[in-house]
Amino acid sequence: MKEQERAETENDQAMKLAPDEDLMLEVRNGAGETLGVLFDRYHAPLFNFYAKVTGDRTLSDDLVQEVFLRILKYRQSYEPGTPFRAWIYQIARNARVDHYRKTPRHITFEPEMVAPVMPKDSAQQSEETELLHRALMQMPEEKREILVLSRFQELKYDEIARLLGCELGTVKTRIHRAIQELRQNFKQLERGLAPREAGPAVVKNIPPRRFGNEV
Amino acid sequence: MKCEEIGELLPDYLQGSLKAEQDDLVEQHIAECGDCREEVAIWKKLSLLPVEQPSAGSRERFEAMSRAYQTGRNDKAAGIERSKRGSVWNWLRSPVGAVAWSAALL
Repeated sequence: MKEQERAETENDQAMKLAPDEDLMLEVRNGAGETLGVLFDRYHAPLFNFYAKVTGDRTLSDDLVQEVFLRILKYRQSYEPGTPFRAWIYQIARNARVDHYRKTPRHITFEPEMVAPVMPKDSAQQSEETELLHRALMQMPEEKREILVLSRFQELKYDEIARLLGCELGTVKTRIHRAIQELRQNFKQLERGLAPREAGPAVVKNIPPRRFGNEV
Repeated sequence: MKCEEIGELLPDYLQGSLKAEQDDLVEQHIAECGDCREEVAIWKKLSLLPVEQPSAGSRERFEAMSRAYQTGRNDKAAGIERSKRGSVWNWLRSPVGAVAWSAALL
């Protein structure tokens, strides 16, 4: 019995250290329970991605579940050698786009998502964080997404280019323009002015789906 | 270097993944250029935004979804098996099936 327990523990350890791609191949070959390890690795970053891009916590929770359901449903479409991170973010983008196709959005800003005031923060820093959050949410979703992918998900330019289906140079330009717009919005909010492109992002701002293995 | 070229290096600069000479170029430029300094500042401020955490029941919900998906697949597979068995039985009861069955017995 003890040997069996030890073997199970060793197997758990090995799974925790295995590369994403190896685990996904196991899922693809029918080991659905292995998906739990990938869930543990990715559900929090995915939630942060969705929450920052959509500004809606409930929707973000639902979309994370949808991503993992799609992985189960379409696991056969995962091609060995495909970087798993790129693949799961592609599924995540598609799930979001499909959601907005079915349910067009009207409100992007959830007051509860204003950055919480941490005791150690100075009042000025808290105010800055709140203004920055508002400035980010006032941007079109397409621009907000590219900033979130670059800054929070720490995707490289080439990974973002593959994900968005565009050239490397285009990604660089789009990120540069997005950060400049964020800077303008932030400055205007600091001065107490309404930003130039204020208003909720609408479904037309979501880029079209473009990628080889669409699921 | 132009501001636009510097701007394109900033995400990597902030992640600390630039080569030493590029790193120096960025630092020299932002020391002299107020616009690019502001751009660096806004990138850095972005890091102040808190990381959003999923709700506490997220893992349980995932497990329930996986179980339901697996159960659904098993039920579907069992349904196909039942329907296959049913179709063989129906065929045996049909006139053609009855003839074939009789011939096999003879």
